[in-house]
Amino acid sequence: MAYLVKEIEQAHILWFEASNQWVQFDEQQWLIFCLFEKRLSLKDAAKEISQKLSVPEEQAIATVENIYQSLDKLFNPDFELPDFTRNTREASLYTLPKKKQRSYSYQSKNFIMVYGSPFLEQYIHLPLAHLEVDTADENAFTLEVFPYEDRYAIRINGTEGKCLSAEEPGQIKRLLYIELSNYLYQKDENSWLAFIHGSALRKNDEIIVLTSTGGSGKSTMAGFLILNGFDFFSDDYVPVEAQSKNAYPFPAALCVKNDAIQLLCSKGLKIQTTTSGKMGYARQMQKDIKALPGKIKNVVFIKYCREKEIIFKPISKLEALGLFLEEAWVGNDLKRAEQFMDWFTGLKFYRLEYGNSEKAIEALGKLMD
Amino acid sequence: MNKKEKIDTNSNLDEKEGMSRREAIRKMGYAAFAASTMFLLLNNPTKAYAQSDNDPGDPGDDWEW
Repeated sequence: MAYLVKEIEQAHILWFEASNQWVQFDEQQWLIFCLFEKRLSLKDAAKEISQKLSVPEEQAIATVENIYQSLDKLFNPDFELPDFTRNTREASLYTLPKKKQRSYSYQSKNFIMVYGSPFLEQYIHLPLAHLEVDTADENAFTLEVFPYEDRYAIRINGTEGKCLSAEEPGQIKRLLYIELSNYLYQKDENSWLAFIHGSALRKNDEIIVLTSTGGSGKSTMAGFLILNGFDFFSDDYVPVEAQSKNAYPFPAALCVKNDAIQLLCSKGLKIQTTTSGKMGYARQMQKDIKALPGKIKNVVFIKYCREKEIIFKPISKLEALGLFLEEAWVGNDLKRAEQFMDWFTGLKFYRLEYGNSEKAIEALGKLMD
Repeated sequence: MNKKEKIDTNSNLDEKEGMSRREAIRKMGYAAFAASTMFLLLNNPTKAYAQSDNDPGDPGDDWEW
């Protein structure tokens, strides 16, 4: 029955290990939770709530019953949590009927990717293409990625190694990035505090993360910031280590789409587009990337809104927590959940909605000066 | 198709159907919980990793795209 409690701005934030669920309690819910923890019966708890909050007993019973049931589900979930190792025995032994191999190197670390389909090759290779090398190191770390049944799978270092599978290509790409991060930085899956969906940039030795749902303009703004004195750090995926609380750069290229390609090219960013022209990768930035990890200072929840000039304001940690957890995966054991809260409460959060790019660049520049 | 292949195919089908049924129950389980609770839930633990849709499109069956 492991759980974590943290107070943020007078609200109780709880994390339940069994269900990996983060919850915000109001005062009444917190009070009932304390009674649940004291193992008070529903009837006795309702009586106490009725007296303490001066509410009719019938109303108190309904409330306590709902909360007791919810708590029971959080401690004993009836829903399955993601498990990417599920049903992977056959995939781990599968012989790929067709495959293509490419070799890569990053910071003197060599790795090989084996692709099981043209789609996966294009999808995974394009952001990593700038790391490709001509000579294959046959002893290098090897990742195979392939379609299997109606899912996708990755296999690490052959049929004897680890095998993971996922329903969606985006998920398999994320798993692959995690395995690659483990290899490049000599970590394991429990080393990471969080993986943030966002674009990260470095200025004055500090990191800013732009996060939001897909299609909100994170990478476009990252492109603008690169042209305005920021160093590219990581795109789409920002791993944060548990022990040091450092963010690590992942060497995939900055990916921009549609109208942003032309816009950023016109400002001087070199972008190589795909054959469809709808997607492009700013690869030259990778040569300048500082592979050193860094501390995240600011997290900005960003949204491009054509009709707005600019709204840029700090937001509370409480408001930020819900927004952040929508875009990040957090280590799902008690120690890391605790470390996460300590780290999170030390960050600064902002909301940026903009239609005027120049003003948004200026605001973010000032934030990091 | 010989008998063994047919049996294998059927067992794969059963497995697939079983998996999608389980998946549906799993998703319904969380959705039902989320709909019934009075708590403010800050994350969806049945959802894995958030990411952008950076799919460059289907290159077809050709390796040389």
